[in-house]
Amino acid sequence: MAASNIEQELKKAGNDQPAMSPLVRARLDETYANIGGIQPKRKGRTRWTGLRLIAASTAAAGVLGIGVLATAFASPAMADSIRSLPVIGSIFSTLQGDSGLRAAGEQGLFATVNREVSHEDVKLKVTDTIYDGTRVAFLLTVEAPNLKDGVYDNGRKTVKLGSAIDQVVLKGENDGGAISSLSGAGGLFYGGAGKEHPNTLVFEQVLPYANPNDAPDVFEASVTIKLDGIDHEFAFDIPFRKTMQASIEITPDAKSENGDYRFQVANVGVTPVTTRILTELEYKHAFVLTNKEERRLTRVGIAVFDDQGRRLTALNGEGIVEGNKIVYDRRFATTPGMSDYLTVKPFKIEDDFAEEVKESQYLKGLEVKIELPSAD
Amino acid sequence: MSMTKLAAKAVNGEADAFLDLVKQLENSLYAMAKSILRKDEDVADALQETIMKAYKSVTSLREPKFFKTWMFRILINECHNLIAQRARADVVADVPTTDVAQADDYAKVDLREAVDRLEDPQRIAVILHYYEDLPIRQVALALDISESAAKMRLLRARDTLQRSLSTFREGKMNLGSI
Repeated sequence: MAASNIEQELKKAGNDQPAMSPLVRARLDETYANIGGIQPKRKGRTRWTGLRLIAASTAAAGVLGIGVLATAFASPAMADSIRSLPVIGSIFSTLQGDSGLRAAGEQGLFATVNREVSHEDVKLKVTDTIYDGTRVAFLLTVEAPNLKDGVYDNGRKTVKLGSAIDQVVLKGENDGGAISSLSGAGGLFYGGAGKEHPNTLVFEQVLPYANPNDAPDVFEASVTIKLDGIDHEFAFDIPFRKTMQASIEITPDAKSENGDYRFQVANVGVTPVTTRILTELEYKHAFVLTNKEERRLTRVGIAVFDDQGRRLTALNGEGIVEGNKIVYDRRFATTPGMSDYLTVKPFKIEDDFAEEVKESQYLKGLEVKIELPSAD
Repeated sequence: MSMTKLAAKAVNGEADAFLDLVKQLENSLYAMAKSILRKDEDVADALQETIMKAYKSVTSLREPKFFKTWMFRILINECHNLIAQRARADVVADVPTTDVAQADDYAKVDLREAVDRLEDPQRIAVILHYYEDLPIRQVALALDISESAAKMRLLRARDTLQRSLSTFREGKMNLGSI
């Protein structure tokens, strides 16, 4: 066969797919039937394992209030809160995928709750929590005879523990009232806690509050979890209390522009765990965006670096198009230590599967530097 | 409804849209899994696991247009995971059954058989690019390799196919002349 014909012949050959066997057909139909009873994970990113997406959803509207400068990291109040917490280590301190939670674990900015529930010979235990007003996180350890080294046998086959979570719901209550939008601010995420702790999962929920200082100091959440192969709903009541009292909230006058865009960092909130950044990106050549222009704007992400050049891990965010601009509210994991400033660099998203940003992807002239107030 | 529109609905958590999409892709996914795993029990396991994993995390898919690429990526990983779990002998011991071809299909069958005999990385690249019509960039995405590496695999695959088909035909001619 001539070399020039091989490509054409290969394309034709692709039309003849093998006939599906009855066995596979039956298993597929069974799988389709099962899907109706399962909820997909909430919109967001994959964490700690596998792929990670840099940017976040553009679907939901996130309108933020204007924050004001609050206290800095090492305020006396915060120092007290640190001292009041147990100094023993937490699995949080070993997490590699989230520098904010890891730092909180290392600095003791977590609370020990030790709630456990059992059903037959399966025990679920929530040990530690972190709550900074922007997000909550908790550690769940599973003990079961059919779970070994993070591999769970559901009776039909073995799967990783993370894949054995069929359903999880977290609802919050504050002074008797429901924190109704708790589940609407980026959703609940979970992932493995690392090879050293194969039977532990980390769960995390971003909160709906524009300013973490507005979030209640304490609230109670009910969490229900279903495990694959077990016809039982495990239910917990987990108390969350802020494990850190201080945060930085600033409204920087940080703007930049190039031939096509104006960029502004409108608000920055920083806790030792989470950094929240509100940005506006405006397309200068239109009052109202066409679909194509809107799509182009939604394909711009931001990379955030601390004063040591460490890039902050992107968590999630929501954006809304307003006229000729897109307003984006994003959360990042704070890097350890206190940064004097943050550098925010918009970039063109080229590869949804890649976390690295090449130099050529950054939009020229739009980088801005945000000075953070020094600690007391 | 187009695959991208359906994918957008699936990303928003609509189970029906997800199912419609997977049903559209099921033959392609089956062909890929079959090509890697051969054994139907394994193929069924890989497909089931792939679909469940994809469903549970479909809302994290940022670009609906990459749904197909994303599904193949999950499937290929699942197939390789299964292979790693099974004893090698167990996997290769099962010779795939081949449908009986009509006379004028021989050329296609020859080519498909030659593709089946390619090494895994080349064969998967060929299936994604030529059978599934994925652009090079998405082949690279699905396989988590660079575009140049994807091109190289396809180039080597074509070279191998060229050689194997020539050899095969010469053999038939020799037989015919006896």
